[in-house]
Amino acid sequence: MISAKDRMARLVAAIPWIVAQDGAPVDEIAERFDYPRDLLLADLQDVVFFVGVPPYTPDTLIEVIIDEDMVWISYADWFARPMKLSGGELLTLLTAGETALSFDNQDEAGALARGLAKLRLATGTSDTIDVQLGSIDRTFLPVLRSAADARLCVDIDYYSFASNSQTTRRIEPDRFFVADGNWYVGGYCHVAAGERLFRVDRIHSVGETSQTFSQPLQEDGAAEPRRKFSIDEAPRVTIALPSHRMRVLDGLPFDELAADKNGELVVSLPVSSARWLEQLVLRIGPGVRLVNAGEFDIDPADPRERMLSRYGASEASQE
Amino acid sequence: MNKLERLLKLLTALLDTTIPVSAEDLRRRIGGYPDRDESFRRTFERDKDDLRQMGVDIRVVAVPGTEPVVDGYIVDQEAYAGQDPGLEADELAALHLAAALVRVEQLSTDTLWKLGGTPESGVGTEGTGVLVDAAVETDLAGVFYEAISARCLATFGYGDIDRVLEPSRLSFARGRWYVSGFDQRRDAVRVFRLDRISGDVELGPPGAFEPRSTRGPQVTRSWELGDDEPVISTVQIEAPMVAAARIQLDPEEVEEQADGSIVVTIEVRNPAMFRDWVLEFYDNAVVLGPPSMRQMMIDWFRETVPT
Repeated sequence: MISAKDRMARLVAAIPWIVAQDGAPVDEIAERFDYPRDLLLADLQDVVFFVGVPPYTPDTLIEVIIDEDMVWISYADWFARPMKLSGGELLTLLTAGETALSFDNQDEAGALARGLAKLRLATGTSDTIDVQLGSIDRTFLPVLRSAADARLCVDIDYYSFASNSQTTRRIEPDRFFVADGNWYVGGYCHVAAGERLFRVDRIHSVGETSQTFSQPLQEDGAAEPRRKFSIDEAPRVTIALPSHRMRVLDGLPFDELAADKNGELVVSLPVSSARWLEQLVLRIGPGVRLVNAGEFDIDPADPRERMLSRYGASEASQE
Repeated sequence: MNKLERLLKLLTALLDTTIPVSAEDLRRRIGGYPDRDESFRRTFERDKDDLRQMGVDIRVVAVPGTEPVVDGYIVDQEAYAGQDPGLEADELAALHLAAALVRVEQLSTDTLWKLGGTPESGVGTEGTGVLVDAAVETDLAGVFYEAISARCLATFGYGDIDRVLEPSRLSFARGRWYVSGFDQRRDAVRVFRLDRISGDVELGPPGAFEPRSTRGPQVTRSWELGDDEPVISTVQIEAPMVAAARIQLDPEEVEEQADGSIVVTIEVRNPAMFRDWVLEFYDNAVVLGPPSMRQMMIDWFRETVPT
């Protein structure tokens, strides 16, 4: 049973739509607003018909006419326009729309682009809201998306930050997400023989293949859930940093963050590679302490010396 | 009278008036509320809560001429109703598809009903097979959207300084919301990252300022978010990271090199953020100039003595 509040939400959206259409088929209203047909008819006849203002004489009530399979509503001036989208709703809708636009590489004159433009115009946000979920060269994303839809493998030339090398991999793209403005594609990697995530801006080329992929079936015939890479499996390190450098941790997953009495922060976080850890040490900068490097055998002084060398200011060469 | 009828009549009554109406007056106008005062009050409070949860902004204002003051209730027609964007069926279907494809927080079916419902059964969920997760937090951005729409001054703390902003543009870029506008205390256009705002954001009354011709920068790059005089700086970025770097760069800022690297020339207003951006590329990027920026990087590395 749909609650009174949920029926109310449907009605205040459906009434202006029916008015704007100058009458609409019952089935279409039921479909559009996910309103069970019988309940819709009952609410229109037994509720909306009696709504108005005192003295509740026929001339002050909403008029509802139901004739066979059509509904007409008039004298519903209070509900002539739909409810305004809240700020959060509008921003969320624009975000979803703009993301899909970049994801699909749709025609700028296409339905989604036109719909978004109309939405912006109606809400006065044509030049006040700018959404770029993940700015990216649109070349690869639609190709990856098509391959994912068709369950086709792709060959990618990928730069691995961890190994600082470029390799060609055959992957089975099956999911996408955006984090901190970066697009990622996830799926089974034939080279690594396991699930991996790839940053799309580190993909240098995508080659389509005719090799299909499918999820293995369980005994009951259902698709076996893919075992996805979990951050829980990544090795952990513990680092201390000055509190004013906390912004380096923005967007990074961490297990625990504690402040000690000296104002130093101690964080335990998953680390994907020694090279990434080296970079993190340098990004934190002065005041960083590697409390526990876990399984990573790195000399914290190495990245510092490497960068000084890049700037021709190596201390080793001066000694 | 059932609850649905009561809710509809309450909303109608609140929309139909231009002066605030007391609870007792609403009780008389609507009818159908319990006779006992205590039961009426409870039911009336629940009804108001339900309408507010739907997004109806019920304002509480003193009923004119009452002494002692009696609370009155009213819903501003203009605040309640939106402009119908006039979406064609294919446009609405495309928005549904986008909403189904991209999983963003807070996007509910109620949002799409306000735009005219679902045009066809199942539109948006069939055949996509792919879902994009986009964790976008819009609570604070929603507050600034309201401020921009109603031209309210926004007062908030940022970088240990209280700001009074005439907000004019919201931008979502690289996973963050930014607001730009005229900072009255700084007497200049400024951009602020919303997740760096400290404490609450207070909005003043509507219509507090006239829109300025300069709406503020559309592109928000970390090294531009500062009050320093701009310093022209150049960075060389090696080939593996070129694609990632280009995302934040205008084509005229990039000079391609024969070895596949690029030399980037940009205006830096915030050296610390510039340094952090360069460090994102680790040993694939080197600051070429000016000497002051280069020295800043060298000093940073020298002072980083990890133990």
